Amino acid sequence: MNCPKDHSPMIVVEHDRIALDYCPECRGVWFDRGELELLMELACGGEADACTADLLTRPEATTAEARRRCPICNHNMRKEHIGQQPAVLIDSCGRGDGLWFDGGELHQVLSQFQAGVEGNQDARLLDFLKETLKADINE
Amino acid sequence: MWEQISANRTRSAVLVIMMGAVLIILGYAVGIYFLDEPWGGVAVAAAVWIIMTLVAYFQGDSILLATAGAKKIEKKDHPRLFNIVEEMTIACGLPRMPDVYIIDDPALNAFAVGRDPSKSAVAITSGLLQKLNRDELQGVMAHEMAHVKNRDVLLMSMAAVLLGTIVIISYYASRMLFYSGGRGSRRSSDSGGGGAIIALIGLVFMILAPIFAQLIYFAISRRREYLADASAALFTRYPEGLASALEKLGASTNQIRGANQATAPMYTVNPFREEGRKAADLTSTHPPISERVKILRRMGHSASYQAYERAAEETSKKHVIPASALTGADSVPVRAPSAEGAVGEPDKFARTRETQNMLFGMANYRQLNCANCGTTLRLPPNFTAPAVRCPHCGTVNKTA
Ligand SMILES: [Zn+2]
Ligand SMILES: [Zn+2]
Repeated sequence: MNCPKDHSPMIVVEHDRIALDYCPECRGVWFDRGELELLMELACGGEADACTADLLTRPEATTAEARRRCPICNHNMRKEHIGQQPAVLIDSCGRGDGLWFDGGELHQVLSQFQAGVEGNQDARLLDFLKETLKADINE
Repeated sequence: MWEQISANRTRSAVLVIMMGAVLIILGYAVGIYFLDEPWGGVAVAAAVWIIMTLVAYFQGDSILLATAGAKKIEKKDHPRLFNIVEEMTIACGLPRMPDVYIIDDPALNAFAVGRDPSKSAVAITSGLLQKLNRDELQGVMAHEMAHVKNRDVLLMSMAAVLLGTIVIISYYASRMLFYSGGRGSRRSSDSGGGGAIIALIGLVFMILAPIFAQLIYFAISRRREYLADASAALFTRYPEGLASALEKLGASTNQIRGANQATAPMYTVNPFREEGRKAADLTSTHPPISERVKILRRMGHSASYQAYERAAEETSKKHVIPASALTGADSVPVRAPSAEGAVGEPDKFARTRETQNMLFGMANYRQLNCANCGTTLRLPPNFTAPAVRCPHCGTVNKTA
């Protein structure tokens, strides 16, 4: 699978029994639906399906940021926000194939992010990213 | 089940003839419009019909598998799936184990193809493989293998290939008609009123042909779904396995990518629906999933065709099982569910990893464990950089 941003080959990084696709060039992260579901299983337990659906179908955010194509279905993805203060602008596949996090902004947000302040699925997702990409973020 | 098998042979023949008739009328219309000579069109259509019927008979399975993007796997690729298919081969009494194919798609679906029980294949999406536990996977595989056993698969692949041909010809004919301004040939306008009427009928038919073809197809595909469900309950001795698998299939909103109009009825659940819509409330090729689940759950403690027929009658006042199946003495008590967390039975996380490892292996990914923290990194074949930095601990690992 190639990076939706710069089209270089992505590698797969496995952490805590969950894998994500990671672009070593731009440090962006792709979560496919299956992985997202597993992560939500840890974060939301019995409500995992609702949590996954919520993450994939938030209202479209208004932004000038360039559209990216889903690496699975190749359709343009939607922009949406996850987390609060600061929120992360992410790309979400309209067919529900997965979520894309651009490298730079994500790492900035994650470096300020305090796990445990927000106890919801967004917090668990960002927390997971923070732990998996520890070295990237603390640079 | 002989009644079912011979009924399917008759239906296959009727289907081939009807599709041939549709093709020939289509050829007649195309002939009038584009060749100035209706019989030229008929001759071409007849040739196409004969060729496509032969192709469908001898190559239908490989065409359909290729169209769906299915890849054959070996036992070492996914031992658990292979064990289940082996088990079900014995339970169904098939003479030979079907080949096993994987479709790398997050959608949840499965289908079977083949000319006869000694040459068949089952295909399942990677998404479904990750989602189902042992009992559910057994239910789905048994349902697909019942289609092989009941000889539905030849009928289905013939229908899919012929329908595909009709859809393609109609598509191009209507495109050509559009570009030629819809006026038709010189001769048909020369020949006055009669020719114009024939041309008009031809035009209408060209538009209706794909719809007609699909109607024929729908008519044959609904009842065989009930029968395959009933067979799956009998072969697995556990109706709840398939019921709960169907529930998962029905709740999924992912659409399979490798399906088209012609192949849709092959799948366990209809792959066509509006994007993001649940599969549950569907449609003419397949009985509604909720109804199939209700029937399976109402079967009680005996897994038999009689129990299924009774449950279908109670649920929706329908007779769905052919008489010959009901007179047989096949009835077995329903077994207990597989123990939750049984030894060697992987949980959701392990199943996902198991399926992913298989797909990574098939796609020639290389595994690299970070020399410092042990984080597993997988590198695709097009990843050629000499080193890769572990995002978790920052160690630079050589890739060569
Ligand atoms: Zn990138
Ligand atoms: Zn490391």
